[in-house]
Amino acid sequence: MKSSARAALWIAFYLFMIFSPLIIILVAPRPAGREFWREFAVGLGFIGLSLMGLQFVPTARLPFLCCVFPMDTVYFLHHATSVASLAFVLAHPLILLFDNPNIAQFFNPAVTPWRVLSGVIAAALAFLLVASSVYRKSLNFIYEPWRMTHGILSVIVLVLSLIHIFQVNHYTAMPLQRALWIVLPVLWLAMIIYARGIKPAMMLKKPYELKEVREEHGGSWTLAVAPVGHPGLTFKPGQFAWLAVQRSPFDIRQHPFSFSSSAERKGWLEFTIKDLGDFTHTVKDIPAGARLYVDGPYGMFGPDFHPAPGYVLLAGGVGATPIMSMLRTLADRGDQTPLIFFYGSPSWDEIIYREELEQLKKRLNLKLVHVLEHPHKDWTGEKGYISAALLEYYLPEDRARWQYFMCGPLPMIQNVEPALIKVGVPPSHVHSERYEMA
Amino acid sequence: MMRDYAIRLLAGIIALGILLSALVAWRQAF
Repeated sequence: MKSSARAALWIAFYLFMIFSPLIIILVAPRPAGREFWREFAVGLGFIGLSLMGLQFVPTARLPFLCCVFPMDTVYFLHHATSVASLAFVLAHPLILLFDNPNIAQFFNPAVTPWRVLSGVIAAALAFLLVASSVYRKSLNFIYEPWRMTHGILSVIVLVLSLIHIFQVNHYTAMPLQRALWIVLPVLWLAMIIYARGIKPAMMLKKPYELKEVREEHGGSWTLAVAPVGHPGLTFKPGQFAWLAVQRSPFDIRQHPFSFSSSAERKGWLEFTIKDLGDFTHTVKDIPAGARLYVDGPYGMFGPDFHPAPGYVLLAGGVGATPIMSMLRTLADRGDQTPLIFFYGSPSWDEIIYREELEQLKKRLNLKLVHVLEHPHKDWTGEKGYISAALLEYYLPEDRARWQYFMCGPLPMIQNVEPALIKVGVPPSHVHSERYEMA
Repeated sequence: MMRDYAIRLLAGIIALGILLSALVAWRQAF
């Protein structure tokens, strides 16, 4: 089946799951004595809850979903949906309050029945859950404890919400409705069991060993790892994996990194990691022989997923990692497809893989365009940032038929995406990968 | 670019969620 057809089927299934609580109400007999605003509030509450529960799906890293949708888009949808689901959840009590101000008395826990209290606490915790995630960086929350709290809080919110709807029993009395509100939580639970139990258990059976740590330019380090007792995973250039370094695969402290090695080199994986001060600061000190677990591959970024007569690769700094995997793989395959690589770096000394890129030019049909932010005085190449004018100068006439892969910091992607479209590249041919997913 | 599609999908979910809730409420109440 074509990937676009698979994507459409998954989206249709996702929409059906979101709206299933309301579809069930619509097909059931019409009860007597219901009021519009109260029913409207209930409908919004149900949508909010089913949206929140389905949040476990994108973060479970399901292998069959990861090759249908780009992973950074899946996480983006997870973040955006969390805000939307909170708005639906909060609209539920607000409309009820607007409809009947007397229910304000329920904000006093002493007189509030448990069926209402569970809903009030769930809504308050849902607010806390989303706010602590949206403002995690501004609030300087450390990633690991935040992620642990995030997972626990999500489960508490959903359990309290289920207690609320079952105790209110407004739309859980009929067998079909009751069955739905059992099936949905079972699906959520299955996602948690898969992500936290089954997947780590599978990873545990396939350990990797750190073979070497190599220093690269620009404060980056390459980790080379090899499988122990198994052939190792295979990947496509441009994909990435989550690494658990010197930790159990059951540990939540895992970090996503792009493969930088050639996909044609079996039993050997490399990841180039820039020292950014967090976990990445410890990479250089990991001893050879250290045990690692690799969860992957993920993503659908790269030439193998998007055949074209030519490829334009655009990277900023350590964003060159997946691009390097593409170049090394295409060179190993003897592929002579025309390539243009726009590589933005702060300075000449900070160009990661600088020497190897020159070597790769001999093996590939590659035009390499370095763009330096702070060039030295003798620099005769491109200066500043990748711009529409620069792209217009280098891109071929048939640019609309080529595919474009871009990886780098957010400001670069935000500037270069519109620049590509401005010079005539179809938006559907532009594939961007952002660093951040969590 | 995929993010644009994701934003449109979410906008559709929000709009459909509100419309469907209103439809359900209308049907139940009137």
